[in-house]
Amino acid sequence: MSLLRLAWRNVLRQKRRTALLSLVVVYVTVAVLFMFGFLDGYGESLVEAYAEYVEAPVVVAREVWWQDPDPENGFRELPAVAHPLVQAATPRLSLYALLRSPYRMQGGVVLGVDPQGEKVLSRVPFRVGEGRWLQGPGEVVLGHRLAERLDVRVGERLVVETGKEALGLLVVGLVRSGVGNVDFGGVYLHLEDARKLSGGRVGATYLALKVPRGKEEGVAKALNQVLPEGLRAKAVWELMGPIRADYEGSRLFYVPLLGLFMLLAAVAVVSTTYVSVRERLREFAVAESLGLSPARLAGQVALEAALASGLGLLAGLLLGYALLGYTSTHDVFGPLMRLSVELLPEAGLSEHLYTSSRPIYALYASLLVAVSALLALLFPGRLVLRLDPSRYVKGE
Amino acid sequence: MLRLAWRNLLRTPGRSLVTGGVVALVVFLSLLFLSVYGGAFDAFFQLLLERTGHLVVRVEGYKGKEDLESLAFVPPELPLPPGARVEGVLEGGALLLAHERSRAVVLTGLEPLGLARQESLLAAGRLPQAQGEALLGEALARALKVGLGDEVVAYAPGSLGLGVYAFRVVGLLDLPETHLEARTLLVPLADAQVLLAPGRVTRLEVRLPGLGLYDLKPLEEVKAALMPHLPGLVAETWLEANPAYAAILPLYDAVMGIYVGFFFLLGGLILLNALYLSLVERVREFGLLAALGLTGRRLMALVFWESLLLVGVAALGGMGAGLLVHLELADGFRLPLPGWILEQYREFGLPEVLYGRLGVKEVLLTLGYAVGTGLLAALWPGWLASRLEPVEAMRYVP
Repeated sequence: MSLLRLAWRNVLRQKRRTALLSLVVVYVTVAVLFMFGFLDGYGESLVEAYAEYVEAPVVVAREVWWQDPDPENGFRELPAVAHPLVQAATPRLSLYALLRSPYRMQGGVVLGVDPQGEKVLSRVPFRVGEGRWLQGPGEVVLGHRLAERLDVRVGERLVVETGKEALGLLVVGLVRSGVGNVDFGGVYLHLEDARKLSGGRVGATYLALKVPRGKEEGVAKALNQVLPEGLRAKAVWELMGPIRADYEGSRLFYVPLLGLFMLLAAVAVVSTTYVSVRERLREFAVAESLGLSPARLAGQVALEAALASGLGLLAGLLLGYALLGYTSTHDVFGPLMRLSVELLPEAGLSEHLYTSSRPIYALYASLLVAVSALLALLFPGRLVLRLDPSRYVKGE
Repeated sequence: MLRLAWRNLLRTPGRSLVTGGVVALVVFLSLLFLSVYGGAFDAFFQLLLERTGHLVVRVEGYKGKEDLESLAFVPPELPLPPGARVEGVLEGGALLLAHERSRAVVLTGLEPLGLARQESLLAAGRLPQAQGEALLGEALARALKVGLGDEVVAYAPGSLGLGVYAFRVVGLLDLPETHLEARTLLVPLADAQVLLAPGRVTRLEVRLPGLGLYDLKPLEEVKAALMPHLPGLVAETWLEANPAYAAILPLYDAVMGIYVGFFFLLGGLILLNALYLSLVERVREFGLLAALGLTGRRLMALVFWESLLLVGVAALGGMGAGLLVHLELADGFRLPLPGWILEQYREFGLPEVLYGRLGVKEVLLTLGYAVGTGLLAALWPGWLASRLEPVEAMRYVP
């Protein structure tokens, strides 16, 4: 305890120096918190986009459909899926089709859905910005950017052709979800219509399951052990497209970079501690001649480094979490994300990105304090260990 | 003053080396970062340029036009500079049918030169040599369960041409982006015209040999020369033809400036710390110098010289190392990421092998940051040094 008080007093003796040193630590702490918050926020926005809009938390389909997603590889009869964490299940039938408005023509993937079932599982029905959600056969709901491209409005007709069948459907709603895939490519029609368009032999291509956030992997794994042969469940991370690589790549790039930032900050802490120890070698010699062991004195040096960087850490945590608090509630990255969605409309990006704010970031950032203390023990600490008290006490 | 500053730096070689090392590392990392990102941007833009040509001619107001009839035009004669080539392209939507399966596709009619450019993407078969032959994306062929020699039927209702046309698959394309590969059907221009719009194209692509990616000024000149010969048509540079990408280009400089700024801010804080420590260690000396007649301004200048010398030498070292690594990167490199991530990046048009790019602008940006950091970091310690009272400073006890 006395060592701690001594170390604390020494840290406070050079307030300006400690403040300057803390500035480095504050900067790195804020950088660590912000980058982790940003990366996690980006990951969460991707999971949300795919789980709630583009796909589902868990999807069950035939093994052959996963390899060749053509309606002919869909279910004739829907399988029974039982797991205590499955909150809802709804069938979907996805088809490749040609979409024809009176003016334009474009290819796309249409999704046949059960309108009521979809309301439990997906947020798309609640993001209809104009018109309404599907109620029955003969209707279609489109992503608003797709509707612009097709030059079709609510109340007009859209022809959907698959080569087997064609249907003229009434556009009843336009979705504004803020998710690229949905707004640029979403075509939702009644399951019955999709069955007709597929030739009538397929009931659904897959079963979408709602499970609690964070439990997707576990449920998919558990289901794969009990599902009949030939069926396979995939969790949301597996359903993501190439954009997942962007997220993983960013983590692999930024985490070592932050490690380097922390190491450099620790070097700055140690460099200050080194000067401070050199200035006080006579003090240390007196303390050692009074009975304090060199090891304890070296420990005090490490403690000083830890306390000095700890002060910066505390200020950095306050500032960092305040910044995360703001960016997790305000859509600061909206303009950047909207540009990304325009560039990569099929990547499943959301137009909004909010940072994440988790307590674990504080632990990551506090590694800086540990590294500073360790380096202080190794370098300035060594000065104390090699000290010859008699020489210094005499003032030589 | 310069010699004094240099001697002072050499007095604490350990700290000078550590601080200089940090600055050198920051300069090195900045150059590395800029080279890699420059290379990645070049790869994105090169892909666009290859796909659209330097200039694209379309119908005026094409973004607001609705049907193929309004978008297609009879290609006029263009007075192009020597060596320039113009190719007509006709693009439209269609449903491609094969046995029981069908997929919506983007049908693109290309002239022989355009088809020849696809040769490097051929995964199987050959280029179309006669009418009725087609190239399919590999993913599209898989989805339709067709292979080389099989017949597919393109159905394009509501077009100006026949609306239905049968093709024989003679080649399969391996495109970097699977979502494009799954809807790509390339056919000879004459066939596309018979199917969609006789005698017409939806765009003309002008390619100007010897014109690099960012040679936008000469491109604008060619565009201006062409405009009077394009009644009812409009010419756009490859960047204007891709407005979302064009929006990135001015952002790129700002984003890179901010990124590099993050590195230098850390370097600057560490430098400031080192300069302050150096000042604290030498307060008595500074007091003595002041007592001997050195003015506050000259003391301040001494601190600035120390900072600039330290940063200058370190920046040169970091820059040398950075430029050496850049020369290696300029010959081609792979991002140090797992294979599956690189494979997925190809889906966004980023090739596995990139070529580092570092222009004078990037080197000047880094140097500017280094000098700026050196000056800013010295500001406060220099100011403190200039305000020291000689008597108090000479009696200073840490």
